[in-house]
Amino acid sequence: MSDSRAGDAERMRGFSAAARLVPGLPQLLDGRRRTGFTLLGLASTMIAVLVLGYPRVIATFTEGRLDYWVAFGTLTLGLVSAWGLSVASAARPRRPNGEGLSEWRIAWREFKRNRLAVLGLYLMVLLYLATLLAPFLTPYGPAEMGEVIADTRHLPPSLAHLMGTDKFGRDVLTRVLFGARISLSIGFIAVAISVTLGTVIGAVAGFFGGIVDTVLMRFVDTLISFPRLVLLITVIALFDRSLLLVVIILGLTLWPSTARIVRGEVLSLREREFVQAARALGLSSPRIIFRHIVPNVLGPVIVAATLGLGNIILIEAGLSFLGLSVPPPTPTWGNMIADGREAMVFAWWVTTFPGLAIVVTVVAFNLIGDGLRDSLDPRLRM
Amino acid sequence: MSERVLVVEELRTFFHTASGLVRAVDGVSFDLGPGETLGIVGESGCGKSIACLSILRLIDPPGRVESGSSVRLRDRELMEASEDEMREIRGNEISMIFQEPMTSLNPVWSIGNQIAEAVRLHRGVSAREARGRAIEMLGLVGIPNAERRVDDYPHEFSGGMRQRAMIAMALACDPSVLIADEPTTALDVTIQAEILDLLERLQDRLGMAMIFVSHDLGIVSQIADRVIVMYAGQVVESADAGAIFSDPRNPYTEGLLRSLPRITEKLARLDAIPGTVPSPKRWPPGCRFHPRCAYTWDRCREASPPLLGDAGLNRCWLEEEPERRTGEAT
Repeated sequence: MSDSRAGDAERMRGFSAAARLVPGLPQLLDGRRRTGFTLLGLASTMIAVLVLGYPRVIATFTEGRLDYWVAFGTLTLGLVSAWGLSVASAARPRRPNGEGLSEWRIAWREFKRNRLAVLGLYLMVLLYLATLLAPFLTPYGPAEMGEVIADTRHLPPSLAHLMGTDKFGRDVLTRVLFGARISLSIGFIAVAISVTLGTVIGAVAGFFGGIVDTVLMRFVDTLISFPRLVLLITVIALFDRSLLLVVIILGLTLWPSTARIVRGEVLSLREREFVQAARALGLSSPRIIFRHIVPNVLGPVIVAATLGLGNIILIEAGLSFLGLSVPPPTPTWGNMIADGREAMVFAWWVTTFPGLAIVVTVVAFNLIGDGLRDSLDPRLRM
Repeated sequence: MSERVLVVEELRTFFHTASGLVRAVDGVSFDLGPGETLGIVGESGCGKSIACLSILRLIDPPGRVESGSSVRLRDRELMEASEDEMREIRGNEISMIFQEPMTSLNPVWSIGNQIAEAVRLHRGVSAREARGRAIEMLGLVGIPNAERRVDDYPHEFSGGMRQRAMIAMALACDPSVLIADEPTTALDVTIQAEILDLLERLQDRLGMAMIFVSHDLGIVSQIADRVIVMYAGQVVESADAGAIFSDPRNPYTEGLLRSLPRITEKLARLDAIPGTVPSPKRWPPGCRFHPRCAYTWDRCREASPPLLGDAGLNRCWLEEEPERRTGEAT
């Protein structure tokens, strides 16, 4: 114990003050290349954004628009946490493999071995960063049109407009970035709703069994047998279109599959002796379900959630394409594709870039989901 | 008779399944004095585990503890207690440890966390105190370096250590009765001996009464003061531990003892009791052991014997017609 601690102190002293100021440098000096480059890259990108977007930093304080505040806050937070992570991980003693590892740590180690999954994770982090930093990353507004429409519409990709402009002369890159906000937040919130509902309902059904199980699962069967698109179209037709409505409906229609997965897991878990032991210790049923059973099904639930995120983004794009999602001019990837489809022959960029964004996002989430499934399922680990 | 801690009378647990009534425990009675160890012995499927779970009312439908059964903890009737009251009793006054130490601990929480949970639940102490108690208990059950191991996860413990941790968890709230359901069956022989030794030491120190369930007569003979032998959901013999091994009275107990391997004798084959345990859906009429018994005569086929005898209790007509034993013994 004391040996390794002395070693750590020595290592820390070895780093110069400069090394400690630059995130990632201690790791690079220590030979941990991947962590080092990741931290260094992340930090320098953020600094670059901060420098290039300097007028917007000023605008943040003078105009005080919420968008700018969010972006500025994300940047500073990102920089601080990159630096904090770097120092913390340099100071932390390196543990010998396998000592004092919880199941989650083991899963994380396993996950890191899967390169595609790690790539997916990087992509996801980049996507979420991009949505938060959107106003700093592009000089245009999402609904900002060119001055003379005839001159600025359908411009091909160039340095001024990296992804070209659409039929109103709006910058496609800007709209893709802002569209990501809709897609990713819809995906995130809807998944949160559906996973919570599905886990609770599935766990209750599986744990109590009998009549409770029968009633809940027949309800699930009914919901699953309903064509989802028809249900969505009906509900959306009944109410005013809004972001909130889409999120809630997606969340409320996607939980049954999670409930089924959780129920199946719980059915086998409740026969395990630790559940019997927990009852013999006098724990109440809700406590056993939420403290002892639910943490044990989190693996499959997290996998279902990541895969579901990709799925929801696709559904939302489909709904936008049909004009059933968020009303224009708010950009979403789906309605951008719908808008650009008449111009596809001569202005391919209008549809291609949002399409690519959908593909990249969905692939990233599926890669993460696959990686998580491999690392969280002990049956596959052996 | 001194004060009894636990009195079980006419315990009946039936499973009302679609394919018929399963009489898993059919009229079991026994009692337990303070600091006493009662061994329950029987083959797989004789109802010993179900009887233990019934005491804590942990039987799930379609199983049911039938009315007329009585379990009294001191003077409190458990069969009439509410579910909330039962939860207060479980783990606090009556604790139970199980056969399979590998799966009896939740893999996602640390050992200390799981011990502390029971303490906090029943004692309402702070997290810090509960943790202290967990460390103390782990030390008591012989886990070296308890302050460090308390944060380990179950997969970092060996089988024997996990069983120790289970014992720590069960005893953390000072129960007056510990039910040990085959606690050593899944362990190596050397670890078995350690766990038995540990249980005996802890019992001396903490003064709890213990019900020790096993199918292994050797182990029971080591640890128990009194032994009941169960067959087909009933108690067939009940006696002091010494008496039951030196002078078994029931033919079934005799059979069990004969089927034990002995180091002193060299045998080509062990004696086994012929036949198998009958199905609990259809116990044989008359004495439930008669199809497998060497002494069976007409009376055994017709009527089931009650528990007879003065020395110990014995469910066998031989008690009334002892001359038949010498005549037909093999």
